[in-house]
Amino acid sequence: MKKFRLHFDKDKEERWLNEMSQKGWAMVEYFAGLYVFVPCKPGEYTYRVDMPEDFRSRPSWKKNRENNREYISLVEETGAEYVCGWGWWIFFRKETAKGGFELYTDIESQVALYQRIRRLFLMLGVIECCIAFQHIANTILFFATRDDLNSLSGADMFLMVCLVSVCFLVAGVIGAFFMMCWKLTRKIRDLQK
Amino acid sequence: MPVKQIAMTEAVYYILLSLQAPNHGYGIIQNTMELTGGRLEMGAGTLYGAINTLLDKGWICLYSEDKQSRKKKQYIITEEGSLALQQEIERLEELLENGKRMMQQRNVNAGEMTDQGKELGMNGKKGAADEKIQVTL
Repeated sequence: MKKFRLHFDKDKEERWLNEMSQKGWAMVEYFAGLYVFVPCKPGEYTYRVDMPEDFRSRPSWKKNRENNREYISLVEETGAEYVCGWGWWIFFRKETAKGGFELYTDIESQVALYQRIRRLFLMLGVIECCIAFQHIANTILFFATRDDLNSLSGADMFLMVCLVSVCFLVAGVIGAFFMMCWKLTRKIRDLQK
Repeated sequence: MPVKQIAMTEAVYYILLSLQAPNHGYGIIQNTMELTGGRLEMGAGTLYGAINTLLDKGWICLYSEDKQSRKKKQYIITEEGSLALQQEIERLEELLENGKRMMQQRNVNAGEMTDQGKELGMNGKKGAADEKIQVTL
């Protein structure tokens, strides 16, 4: 079974994956919002979504992969298994029968995780803003060069609809990223109390 | 070189204790479990983050690396790490001593107050004792 979902909140995503496992669906693959599930015994696995590496601390991808591999084998030694990875994200699961599964057991490391995620979202948000700026400039240019908007050709009409809808899409993504940054800030504050 | 005194997290403290002898990641988790009688089961993410911080600080270093199986990286505590650990143990001793002494004093005061209360024929013995504690503390 395949499901498409855009999760910005890793805690909600984790909850959702665990609910799916409760219903007898185990996630086995992820790519850009597409989750692949296979049948399992209800509640067979506990899932954890992780981002162990800071995106700026290890500039080389090779080094990053190697560090991740070291980390993954450490997690596997604790009885869990690596499901898949995407970008900076890693999905782990552990058979519920083997006991509890927590990756971050003290407040300091939980705060550090949220801070890593917040930095990532902040960077993505800023990049999105640059793209949006470029795009808005294009859209304005489009309207400025057509003097009579009532007599647009079919192709122009299509282009206009595309430009405007991409505007909304980009605005939505930027909103989601910054909303997440704010939410993470709140979570960090709650943990530090 | 004096190390700046900041309270260590439990994780850092037990990692340093576990690295008196060369040890690898999972060994640290197991050792900590043993030392705390199963109370502290360190998560892999917590451990991994702490190991990287300690490597950056120079409190621990890589001891050996098995190229065949990447996972068997062993770490060991450094001079600087030992010094920091020693300072932390002294700090914790001070905490413990102060705590014990103050609690003992409190118990003695409470005892005295109860006796006085008896002599005066007061009814609210416990209440009077509590009041005294607040005053003395």
